Amino acid sequence: MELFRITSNPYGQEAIVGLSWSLLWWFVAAGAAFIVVHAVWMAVGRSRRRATDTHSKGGVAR
Amino acid sequence: MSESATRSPRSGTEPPARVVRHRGADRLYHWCMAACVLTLLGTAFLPIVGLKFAWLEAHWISGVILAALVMFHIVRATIWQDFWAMMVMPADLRDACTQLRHAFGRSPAPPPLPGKYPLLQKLYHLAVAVIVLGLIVTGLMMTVKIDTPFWTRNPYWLSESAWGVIYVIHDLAAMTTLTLVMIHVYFAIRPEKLWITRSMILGWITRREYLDHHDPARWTAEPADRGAGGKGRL
Repeated sequence: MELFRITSNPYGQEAIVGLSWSLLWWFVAAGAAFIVVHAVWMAVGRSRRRATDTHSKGGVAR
Repeated sequence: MSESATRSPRSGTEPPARVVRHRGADRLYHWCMAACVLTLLGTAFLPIVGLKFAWLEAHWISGVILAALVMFHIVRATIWQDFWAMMVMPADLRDACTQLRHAFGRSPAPPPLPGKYPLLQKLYHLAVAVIVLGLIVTGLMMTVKIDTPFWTRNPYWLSESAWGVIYVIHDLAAMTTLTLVMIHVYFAIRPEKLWITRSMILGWITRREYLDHHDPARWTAEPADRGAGGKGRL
């Protein structure tokens, strides 16, 4: 994977002209990964809280 | 919630039914900034993924408008707003430690409520500020290389290697902005955060939201009918 876009000037010297466009998808993937991990984390936390609430309510009823 | 918990500790009075969170000028700034950033991201990245169009003019004009908006925001935040409300303070770090200890069962004490902005919102703002300022500075420098109604291009202003550094910083900041925007939109549409999103549209939060999410001792409530809403001042 290349990090930079490189071009040659009229004298044959190489020069950096920016970041490689292929990195764009890594940044998109990072955002998507954050969203998925956070959504799963929140869903698991919510189901655990619901289970704890149900358990404690059952204990009171008995 | 007890009667005492619904009263503001400073004034001893009940908080208003609707509390101002964002004034009209700040909401207008936010949505104009959003339009500029989305235009900039679209004109930057859509041609790269295959949608070819004449992107340059829309890109630099949006960039110049964004720079003007950010200047407005900096002046407004420094002079007319509580500048320190958005800064990360030692108390925020202490609260974060308490929150972590509580989350891992090390401390029974619940974490204290924040003032107007919680730590994560402050950190996000800090990240956006650094990235967008980097984009604006490098972007404005790059406008020297294009013809505009105000000047003729001068591609030899900096050396080739210096331009390479400018381009890399601009590209890196632009790609990071894409990630940050994705995360921002995700939080804006999460059900438990919709009250914050609504406050960025209508300007206010309810008394319940104010008391549930904020410490009245750290952020004094202001009634929405005086400062936000349809007839509120900018």
